[in-house]
Amino acid sequence: MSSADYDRLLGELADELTTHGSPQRRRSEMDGDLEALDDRLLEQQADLLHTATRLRYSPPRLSAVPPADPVTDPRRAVAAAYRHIDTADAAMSHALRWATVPGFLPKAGPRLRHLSMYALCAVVAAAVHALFIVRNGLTDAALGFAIAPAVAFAVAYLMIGTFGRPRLRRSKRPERIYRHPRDGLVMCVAIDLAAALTWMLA
Amino acid sequence: MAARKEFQRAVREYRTAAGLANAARDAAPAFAPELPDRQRRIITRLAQAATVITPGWLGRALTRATDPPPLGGASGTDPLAVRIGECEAGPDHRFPVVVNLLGTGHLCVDADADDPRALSIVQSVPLRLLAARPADSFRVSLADLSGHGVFADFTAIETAGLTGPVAVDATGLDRILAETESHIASARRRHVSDLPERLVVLSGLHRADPRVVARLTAFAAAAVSARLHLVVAGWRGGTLPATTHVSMKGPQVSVAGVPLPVVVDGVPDPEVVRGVCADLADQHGWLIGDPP
Repeated sequence: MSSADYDRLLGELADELTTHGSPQRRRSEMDGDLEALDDRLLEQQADLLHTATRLRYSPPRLSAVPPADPVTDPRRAVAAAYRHIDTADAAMSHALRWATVPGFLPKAGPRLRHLSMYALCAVVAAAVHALFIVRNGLTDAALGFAIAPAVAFAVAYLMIGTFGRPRLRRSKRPERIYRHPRDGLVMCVAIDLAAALTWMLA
Repeated sequence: MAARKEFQRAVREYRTAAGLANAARDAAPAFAPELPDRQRRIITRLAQAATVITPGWLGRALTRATDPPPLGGASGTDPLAVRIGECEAGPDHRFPVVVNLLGTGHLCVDADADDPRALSIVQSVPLRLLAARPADSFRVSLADLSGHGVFADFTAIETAGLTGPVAVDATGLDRILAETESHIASARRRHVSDLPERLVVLSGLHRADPRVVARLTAFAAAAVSARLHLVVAGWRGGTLPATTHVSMKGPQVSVAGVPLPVVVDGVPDPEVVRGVCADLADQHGWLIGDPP
């Protein structure tokens, strides 16, 4: 063996490593399991982003959260990760199912839901009107007896457009809904009158 | 509302799963991959070749852990190579990195002595060669313009007259270069084997005048045949003829442009440097007749 042999062998090794790559990365016997887990996580990440777009949510933050306790058994950690992935899948399915019904009173029928919305707005309007009467007196706030039910009706009518529709749209055009305007107007006026009568009797 | 809550729960579960996957990857037991047969064979032969061409002081670790081999073990005329580090071609597959120097060429490092890797080379190479070559046929000149006291532990050989005074400024460097040029001129006139072999070690050269670089470049080609060799740290000039260039760009070290992962040896233990220099000084004093 001489210096020339060393130089020749060094050149051969450099060529070999250039051709076949340098095996610098230390491999683990769990590499297969970890790669499968990575694939599953990537798939779920794509699903979450797609679902966020469908539900019109802003893109979620998907950075990894380190476990509170240090991992001593990697196989158990992989199994736990799969359990969390399954739970995430189930939660995503629930989210999509909930998104097919309106957000407000999802289990009620459309008529009950809309009238509840009108009633809620009318009660709020009557409360605001009452506050106005207490501050400025009945004479100055007299016009409010006409304005309050009208405003409550208008606000409820618009809110039904948002909360009366399911979050998940079936098409790009908003779904047409019947908002029961006549019943709603009657409801708003009735609640306003009831509030006024209560006020006067009190 | 319920849809958003469920969606947020899905996101939370996903993030926890991703965290567990990362932790599992970190905790998974790792093992070294098998190298291809041919690579493994080459590495084994490289390790064998390095052991053969750098016996004794030329290739041993410069620590106090092992018994020192005898000084002056190499012949006075054979070409000598020195170890500068180790190459890790794969986990658990290492071999010493050696550089041909005496009788073959020069050694240039682009980093300067403020980089521990360059400091290691500048200290270990002359120390190994001084310890290996018989003292009567080998002279060393040292220059340190870096201001880091690179050769502070070599005082014993300087005092004993085995080297000239360590040059620490432009005047000292000029003196060494003049001696070097005179050595090459003598080699042209006389039989080369009549002259002692010389090693010139220059540290902190990036602080030197560009004319110094030009002078070194001018005589580098003729120097090898005149039995004169250079070890330079802080080299900013172009490619020197007959020279192994060691490049230290960031954490990567490449030797002679070969793309292999090289780890330069640590800086020699100061106790070992002082011990070898004291032994060399004693031996030299005995040779010239002074009491050791």
